Amino acid sequence: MVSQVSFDSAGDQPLLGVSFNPEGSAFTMRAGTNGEYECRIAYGYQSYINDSIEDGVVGLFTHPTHSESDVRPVELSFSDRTVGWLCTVGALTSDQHEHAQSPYFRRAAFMAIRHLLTNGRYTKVPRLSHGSEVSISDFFDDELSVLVLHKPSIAPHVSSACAEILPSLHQYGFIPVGSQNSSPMEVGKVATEMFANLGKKICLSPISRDVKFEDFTNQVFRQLLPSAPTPLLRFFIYYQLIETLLARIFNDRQSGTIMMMVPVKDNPVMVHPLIKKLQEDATEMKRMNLLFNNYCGAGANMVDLLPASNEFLRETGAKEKATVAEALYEVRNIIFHDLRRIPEKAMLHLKEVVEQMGYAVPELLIKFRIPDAAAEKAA
Amino acid sequence: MKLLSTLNDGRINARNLLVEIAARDYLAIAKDILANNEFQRRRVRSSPTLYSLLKEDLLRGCVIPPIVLAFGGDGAADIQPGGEEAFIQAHGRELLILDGLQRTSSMLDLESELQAKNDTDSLNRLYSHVLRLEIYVGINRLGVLYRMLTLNTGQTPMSLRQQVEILYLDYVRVPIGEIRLIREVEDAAIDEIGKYSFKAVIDGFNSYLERNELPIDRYDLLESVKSLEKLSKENEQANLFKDFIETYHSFVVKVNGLSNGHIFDADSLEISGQPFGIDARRVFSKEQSMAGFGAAIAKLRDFEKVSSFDDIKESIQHLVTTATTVDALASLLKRLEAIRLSSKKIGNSQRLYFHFYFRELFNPESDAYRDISAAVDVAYRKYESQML
Repeated sequence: MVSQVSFDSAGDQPLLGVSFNPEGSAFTMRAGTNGEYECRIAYGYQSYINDSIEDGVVGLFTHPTHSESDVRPVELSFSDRTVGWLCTVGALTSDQHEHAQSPYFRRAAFMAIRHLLTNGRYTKVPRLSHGSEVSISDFFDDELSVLVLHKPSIAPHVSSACAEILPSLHQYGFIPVGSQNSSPMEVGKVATEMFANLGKKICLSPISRDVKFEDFTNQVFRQLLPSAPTPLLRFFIYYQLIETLLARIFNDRQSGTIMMMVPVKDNPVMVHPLIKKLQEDATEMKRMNLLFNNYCGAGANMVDLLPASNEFLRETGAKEKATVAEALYEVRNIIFHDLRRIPEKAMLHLKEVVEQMGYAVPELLIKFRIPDAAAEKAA
Repeated sequence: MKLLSTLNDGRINARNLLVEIAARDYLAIAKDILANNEFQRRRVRSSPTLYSLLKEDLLRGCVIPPIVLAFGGDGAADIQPGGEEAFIQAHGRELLILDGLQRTSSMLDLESELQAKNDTDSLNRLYSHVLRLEIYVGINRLGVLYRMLTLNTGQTPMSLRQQVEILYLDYVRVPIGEIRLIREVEDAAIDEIGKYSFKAVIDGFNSYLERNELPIDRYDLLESVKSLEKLSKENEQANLFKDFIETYHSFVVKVNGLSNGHIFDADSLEISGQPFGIDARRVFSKEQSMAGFGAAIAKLRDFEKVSSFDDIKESIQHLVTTATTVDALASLLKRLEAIRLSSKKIGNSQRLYFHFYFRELFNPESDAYRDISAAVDVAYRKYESQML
């Protein structure tokens, strides 16, 4: 689809292209059927590398505290190479941060601006007239965050839509900008403090290849969560991701047990405990324990989710639990089956639980691994 | 040139002359105007279709709407009735184009085109075309600005900033006392007390006129209309621009003197980035500071806490500090660094902080009145409460 851009008296015009003029340190946007309308977009830097626009992956996000001076190189968890940059729109042309003159950042910033201008999905309605001089801030809010990645360096682990790393960005409070979230979800302190404490760069982790439901994950992090206004609704949505992981666990366990049944199917003594195992695997609590202990491993650091969940349970008169899996499952039971029992004060604690889930659930998606069959048998 | 009528404009206390002039004579004056004022050369290109239509119309002898001009220089106030024509002919290059810049540019383009093609017939037709001009004489700069704003309601209005630049460019050529305004294109460095960037001063003066410290280019038409209301309250006899920069300069001189030219660095301030400015002069020469000053003084005027720039000058002479001035400036630089690290839009946040700083410093009802040091902290608390 051809992007449209509006030039005052002429109205919407087809966007023909965006080029760069190094002498004027500015981009030129051409529009109109025959390119009869153009405007200049100030850049302020002369050096540039004209990479193919296809080599860049660019995403826009909202974040409550990401500042103009906070410009970070991006790494992916499986490599210690810089594969991109995360900064605000304002920082792309600003000289108020330590990477402003870095040739690597300039290369990425150049790519990001060209990409954003060409893309046509502006967050502001620019007031353009033929021959006018504007800035990137006339097309996009300065406060938005931009993720720009070098496509050849991230393939095949991360696609152009960045769906695989949306949960990782969500952990740090980055919410994709899209048509669904006209009033973006409130991001809590857990995520913003996590981002602030990261250090000078940000390392993003794609979700596990064993998850196998990337479309749903993409929908959740791009649309459903950003447009969910209450902690209650967000809990429900986060828990849907957990349910989906639990279903994957059941499938895995069921197929493993059936494989074990085949050679002993005529021996009732041998079959009976396997049927019992199947019945146990069908219970959600069992699979919750498996999810947190066996399928995600001890690496999934979510220690703060336990006290937050127990606070909520205490307020509702329920017993505190000893593990994250048990506590979260009990919170789920109260919300899904006994909502009327929840006093108003406990809702404040639910907010804290949901904030912690904003870190924990993406962590589960990232760490989730179907255990090797041989290793599991040995265990 | 033929004088057709003279009307008095009571609002801006000026005479408005309607004259007829041959295009040949007007284009000669127009070239002088554009050569004399670079900001009037910053034209908005009209669409090729519109341009070719206007060109055809001009060659067919169509009547174009009157072009509005004014004398922006200080001498225009002395023109005697009856002496207008002679004055215009003698001082044509001092005129400013208030309305009709695009039409003028198009006519000049057409003239160049015809000259390049050696098309004498068409050129003569263009030259013999009669134009109407409206010329304001005896008008002060604020009056010119007022008329610029009221006339510019077309499709491609000039920003207030561009109009202020056009109007006050002559101060770049002639120093105001010990103050020199330096343009970016000049080689001269801004390296001593009294030298200021023309751009930064224009920013500060804009903020005064707008009652807002944000960069003017972000403003919409509604804001221009608001500033129009504010301008209408200003005394048309005062030279606001001169008052503004002289008052600001006296503040810089005072603080620089109190700090004895102390040089700051990142290590002594214990900050991670470079200081906002390494001494008082540099800190207060930046556009963020001037914009904050402009907006703050304008607000204090609107709230009737001060009545003129003279009140501010009086306060400047009585500035005190509870800490030493060096400590006060160190504290200011740390606050500015904290803002840099946390702000989503650093420049605008620093402007806001300076706005609060000068509001506190010059507001007789503030706890930090005339206290360089106390104003740093009170302003930061206000900034935090607004931003968090």
